[in-house]
Amino acid sequence: MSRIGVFVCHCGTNIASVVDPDRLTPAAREMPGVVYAADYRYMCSEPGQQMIKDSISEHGIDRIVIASCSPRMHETTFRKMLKGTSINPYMLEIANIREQCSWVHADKGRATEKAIGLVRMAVSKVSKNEPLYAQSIPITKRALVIGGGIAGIQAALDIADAGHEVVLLEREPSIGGKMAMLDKTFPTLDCSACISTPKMVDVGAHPNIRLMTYCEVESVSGYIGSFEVAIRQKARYVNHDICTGCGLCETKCPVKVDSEFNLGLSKRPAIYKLFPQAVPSKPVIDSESCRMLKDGKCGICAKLCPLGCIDYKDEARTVTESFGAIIMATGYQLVDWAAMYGEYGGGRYRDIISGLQFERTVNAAGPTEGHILRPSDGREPETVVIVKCVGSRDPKKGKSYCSRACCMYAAKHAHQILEKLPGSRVFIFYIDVRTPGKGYEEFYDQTRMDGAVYVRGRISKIYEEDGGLVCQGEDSLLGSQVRVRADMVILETAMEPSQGIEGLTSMLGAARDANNWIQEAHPKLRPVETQVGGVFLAGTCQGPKDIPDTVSQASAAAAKVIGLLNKSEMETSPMISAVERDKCSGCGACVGICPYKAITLQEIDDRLGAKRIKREVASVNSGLCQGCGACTAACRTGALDLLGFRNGQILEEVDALCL
Amino acid sequence: MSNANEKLDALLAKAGVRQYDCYQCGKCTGGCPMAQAMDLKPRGVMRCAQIGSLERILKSNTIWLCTGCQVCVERCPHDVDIPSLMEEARYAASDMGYERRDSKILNEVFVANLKMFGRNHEMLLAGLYNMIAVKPLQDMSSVPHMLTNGLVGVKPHETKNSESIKRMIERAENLSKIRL
Repeated sequence: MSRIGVFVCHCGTNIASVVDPDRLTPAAREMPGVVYAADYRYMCSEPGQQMIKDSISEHGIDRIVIASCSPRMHETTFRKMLKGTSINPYMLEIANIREQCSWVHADKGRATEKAIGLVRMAVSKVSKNEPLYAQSIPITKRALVIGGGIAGIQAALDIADAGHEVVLLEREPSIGGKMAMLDKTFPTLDCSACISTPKMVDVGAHPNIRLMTYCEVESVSGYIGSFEVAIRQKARYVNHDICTGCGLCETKCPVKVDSEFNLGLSKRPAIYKLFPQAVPSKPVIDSESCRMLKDGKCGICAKLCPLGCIDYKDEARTVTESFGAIIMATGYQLVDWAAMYGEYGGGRYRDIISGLQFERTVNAAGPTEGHILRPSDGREPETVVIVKCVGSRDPKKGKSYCSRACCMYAAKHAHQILEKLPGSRVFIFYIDVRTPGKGYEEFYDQTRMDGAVYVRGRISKIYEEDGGLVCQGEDSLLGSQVRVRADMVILETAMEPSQGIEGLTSMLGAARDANNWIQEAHPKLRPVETQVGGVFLAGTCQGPKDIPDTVSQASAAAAKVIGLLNKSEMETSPMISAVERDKCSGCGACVGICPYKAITLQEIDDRLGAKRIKREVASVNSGLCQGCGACTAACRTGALDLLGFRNGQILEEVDALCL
Repeated sequence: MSNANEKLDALLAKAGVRQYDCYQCGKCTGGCPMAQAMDLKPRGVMRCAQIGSLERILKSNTIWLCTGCQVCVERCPHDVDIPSLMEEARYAASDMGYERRDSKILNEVFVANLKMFGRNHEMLLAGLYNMIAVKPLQDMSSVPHMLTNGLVGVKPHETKNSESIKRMIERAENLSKIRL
């Protein structure tokens, strides 16, 4: 027979003003198995905890119920307290008589009745509790950062500076991401390259960072502290061990294809660096356009290379590496507006460009060397229309969310046009102007002072007329239709998660939200963690954000990783699923339902009558299991049970309440 | 007030429109081919629906000028079916006697025209409408241009079976509550 102690907390007046301890405590004393019950003003305080500890030894108590606030608040506190006693920390149940009782009820009599019921349930459950023991798992002191944009760069540098080894993985031939493509950054108008390229160089030179560019994650296994990641190094066809990055090979390549970095506004050869300041500053050969690799005819780059770096027989390789933690920094891409908006010409008009194409246009290292020119005829535009929310805030054709950064970079684009092209006119069509950031509203104000005309209304249609683009919409503040004849139109398009996010998150077991952004563990209190232990988030892979927010989040994720890697081992929660092998039929229903990929089928030796057989049973990985209990509900034979929340314990609670 | 709100809610429900779907971006009005002639723009109609001003919608010329071309709903980010709202508003306005005299005349002349020829005869439509509405000189200046460019003809278009169209309209008149 169990010997249960019940401790009722007043929480000052938070509980005691509604729930009557003078009724609750004596009622608890009468419950089956209860050998002692007492109440106190603040159970969580030092004297309160001492009182519980004293009662345990005095009355030979072997399990306790504390009637107090939510277990979220103080369950950990009381578990820690029990570590210094004869009782296992898991021989504890909390009856929540504050958040779920005194705070939400006014009728004192009935609230007290409810509190008695809640305590009765906890007493029944604790009578079935069993001691549980946390396991400890070793931690590999090494981090993987997936994505080499500004988020990944910042996170990698922070972790490396703290003294831990980092692998920074990037699928493009160079790190830098979208920030390297930008011209200036709002609201300070810092040159984007001037503040991001030094960080790229730091990454390349840091003794604790290993850069793996042109690489992709092939598979992930393991769990927090010991992930095994298979990384595929795509074939570069250039030996980077000896290449000095002189650039001679690029000069005579006969192939010309659209430049990814300049978004189709210029051409690049088949052997190329992504951009002049690329890190690593060494070229790769694009196998899809290289004549030698396609037809076996050419080989000019190999002849030119003074060091013999070119290797047309290079092949992709896969290496497996171990990590203790992973940061996702996979970023965003812009939506394909042309496929969404027939009313804007659907990509037929060359002088309608995206905001990112404008960044390349206005950048001194871009295809026009920083001159703002129309793509169609290379003329300077006199009138420019900027359209915001293209693909954003449009549940029908695009995304329902706001992309957050566009209001500010639209203002920046207007400012840059008015500055570079004196006498030009800029119209910005908007629905709302959102400037919630330090110095943002002031920047918007300045842009209006510069002469940008803000028109409230979504552009309805754009059509070509006499070599210009007529933008038709409503000035909704005037309530009348407007038509603006523009020479160039910039569409500030929505962000969406990078291509490939589905595969990567599935490999890791991380969840995505309705829009495919990676889901954070808690929107407010755990914004840089996923619900998979050891997998963290940085930057726009979690949702649209601007550079300051991205960098902040990257440093926050790095801090989490550093905290984890500073330990040599960590305790796991013992409240996880357990399999009763005799009952398990090996159907595998639990394998598919587990959101954390914690369950696998394992072959065991068994007997069937006199025969020795081999059969499969479920096996739970204690490092991966988060104790959600989905498998226990799915299990047909009842072989799976959640320790600390066994079906028997929960039914006991139900019985206590209903019988 | 509450009575009016109930009427508005019923009208919106019938049209399949939720007024708060609209966030007033104006893309509807921006593309509307009739907006310039409307006294309340399509976005304004949605605004009136949001603030419960049914009367302003029903008394506007907008609902009678809407051609039902569907451009607004096609481009609306929230898929608000404004043409359907306009349609229901026309019924409600007729019921409440808000129908505009000129719209009424045009409808009557149009239907009479169909009964006669089985197809619309633009010249006769314009002529009859202008006479009955007492605007005899309206549009006269554009007549030569339209005639010489073949935009209207003096003779009615021929139809194979104008009798059956006539019977069709008469049946519709008998069946429906539409008062012509």
